[in-house]
Amino acid sequence: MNFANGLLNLTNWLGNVIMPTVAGLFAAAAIYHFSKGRHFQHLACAALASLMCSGLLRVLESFGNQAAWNNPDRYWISILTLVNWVGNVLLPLYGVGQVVLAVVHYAGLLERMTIGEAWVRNLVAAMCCFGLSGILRLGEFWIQHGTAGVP
Amino acid sequence: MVCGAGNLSSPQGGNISSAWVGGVESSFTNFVSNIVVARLAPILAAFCVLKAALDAAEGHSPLGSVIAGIFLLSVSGLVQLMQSWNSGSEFATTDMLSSAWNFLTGTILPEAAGLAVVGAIFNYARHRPFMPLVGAGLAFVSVSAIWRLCEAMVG
Repeated sequence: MNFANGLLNLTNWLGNVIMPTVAGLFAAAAIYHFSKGRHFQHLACAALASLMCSGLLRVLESFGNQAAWNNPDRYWISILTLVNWVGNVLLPLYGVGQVVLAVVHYAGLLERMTIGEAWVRNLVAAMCCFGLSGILRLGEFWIQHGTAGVP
Repeated sequence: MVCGAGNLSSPQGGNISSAWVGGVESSFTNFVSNIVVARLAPILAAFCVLKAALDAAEGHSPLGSVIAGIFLLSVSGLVQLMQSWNSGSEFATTDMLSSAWNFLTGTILPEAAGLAVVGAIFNYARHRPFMPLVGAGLAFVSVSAIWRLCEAMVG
């Protein structure tokens, strides 16, 4: 028995078995919060991150491998790469989402989600409840077909 | 018998000529192998797993107890690993420490980075601070470089 192997297997079990399973729980909690008109984005992002656990570790490793192991600037370069990734990859994607939200808000659809008659929210929540498994499969599909973006 | 200079200069093979001392050595070796390593350590590891479950029930992180259990289960492998680090020279102590540092930075900490990612996701979902774990994960995969940075700052 080897301590390093034990730690490696623990990490693999947590990242590749438990976290994708817990993602379903996070998604169910997100749907419940959505049905109550509360903030649900946090739990939805947590569900997506749980599915992407292995990829997130690869991202951290790629950030840390931007310089040689004995380069004193390696930690700074890894943080710089993280900042660049957030600024050049995540923020544009977030901006696209904001544009979509702006169009949806302008169309008046989200008014039926938050104020007044909430029948749209209830309808979408019911659809999500009936299709949680499909939503998780959709998230897994996105992540499996997004691995090409991981350097 | 007090060891003289002649005894110190000769290589120490660890041979035991006295039958009584040999019996003590055999008994102690059997105690460590058959009682401590083979039976006591797995039982203690099982109790660590129970403690992990109780920690989780109290709302604390079970990770420390789980890692302690893995450490106890792998204690024989660790002993063999440390024996392989022993150079047998007059610098054996510092060689051991150097090998332990390399094992820590090259093998253990990159795996701990994965645990840091898992912890960061859990903290994010529970509205707890997660950026310290992200920073720690980055530090775990580049701890040798941080050491070089400290050396460069001092030098």
